[in-house]
Amino acid sequence: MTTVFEISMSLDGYVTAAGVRPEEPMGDGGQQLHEWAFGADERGREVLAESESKVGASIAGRRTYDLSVPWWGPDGPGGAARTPTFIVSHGTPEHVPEKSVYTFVNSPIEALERAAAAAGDKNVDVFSASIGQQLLRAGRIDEIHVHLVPVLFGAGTRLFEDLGGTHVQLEIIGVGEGSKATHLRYAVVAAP
Amino acid sequence: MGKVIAQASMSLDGFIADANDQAGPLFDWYYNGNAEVTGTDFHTSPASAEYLRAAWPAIGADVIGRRLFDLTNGWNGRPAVGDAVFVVTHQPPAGWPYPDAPFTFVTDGLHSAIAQAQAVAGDRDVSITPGNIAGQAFQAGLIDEIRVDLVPVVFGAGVRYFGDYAGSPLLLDDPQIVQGDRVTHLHYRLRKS
Repeated sequence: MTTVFEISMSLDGYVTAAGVRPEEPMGDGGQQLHEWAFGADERGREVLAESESKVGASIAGRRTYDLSVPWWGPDGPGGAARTPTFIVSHGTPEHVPEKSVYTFVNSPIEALERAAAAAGDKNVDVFSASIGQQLLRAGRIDEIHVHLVPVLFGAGTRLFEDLGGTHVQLEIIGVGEGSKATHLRYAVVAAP
Repeated sequence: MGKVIAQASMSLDGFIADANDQAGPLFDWYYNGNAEVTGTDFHTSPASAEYLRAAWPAIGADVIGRRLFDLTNGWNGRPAVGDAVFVVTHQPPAGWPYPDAPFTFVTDGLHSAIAQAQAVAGDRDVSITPGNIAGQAFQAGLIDEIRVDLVPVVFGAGVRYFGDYAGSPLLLDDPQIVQGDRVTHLHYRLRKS
């Protein structure tokens, strides 16, 4: 089992644009961060398909859940694959879709342990910036996959802003060219 | 006239120096191979050397901020890139011991510094070495291209490549990518709106 912190990021380090709200869960213009996955680029579709084929369980934060569940519906971020998805949350939300893939847990570590059990040999995918950082700090992230998007946002939510000043040493696993994103895969060598 | 290019090594989270103003592993790639780059003391991987050989001689002059000047002591009077350096500052340093060095202290702002650098560079390019000064240059729409030497490390805090750029979103073309040893060279062009 490999735990992967996977996220799309602008060149200046943002994972959303400014103005995140229910109608615009990625902020104003932030959808651009995902164009590589849903556009015409064949390489992008391959990268997405490869990532999805390896994911056995997903972890997200409550904020990501709240903003995304109208789009995800009961099947979760994995769509038809119905990937078990663990949401770090204080309590269970009032309205959860019926027959959904979501499990609500209290802490990132609990989410990871339960996701690992559900994933079996497959990967656990973490795609909330705050949960990813907490697990990274706890030394529980094996790989970081960044889809680096050619845009400067100038504002929004930063991918790494809660780490403090301790270096995280990475090793390059692979760099993939693509249209509207460069696909960077790193192994975590030494966590904070 | 040449292009204006922001250029620096950067951590995955966007820093050109860490919280203690240290470069950490950001410059390791300049010295981790056997390929030489004429006119420099670098010995890099063959791929990085080829990348530098194309980029480096095209730069005629460099524009930097006062903080970088102070941190490096003005590279002891030897431009890190280009033939001349223009330092944007409120006040020239007193007693900097390299009076003959090709350094000009520009006290009337970034536009002036870039214009002076372009006059020296002629047909060649002008580089801007981040951080804050690059943020200002992006804000003012003065940058044509971005070169990022992306190093596999997360700093968590420090001096940002893009300074405190807080303008409207800037679209870039897909980059030219060159994979070196412990560095990924990314070369972007800004889309002109």
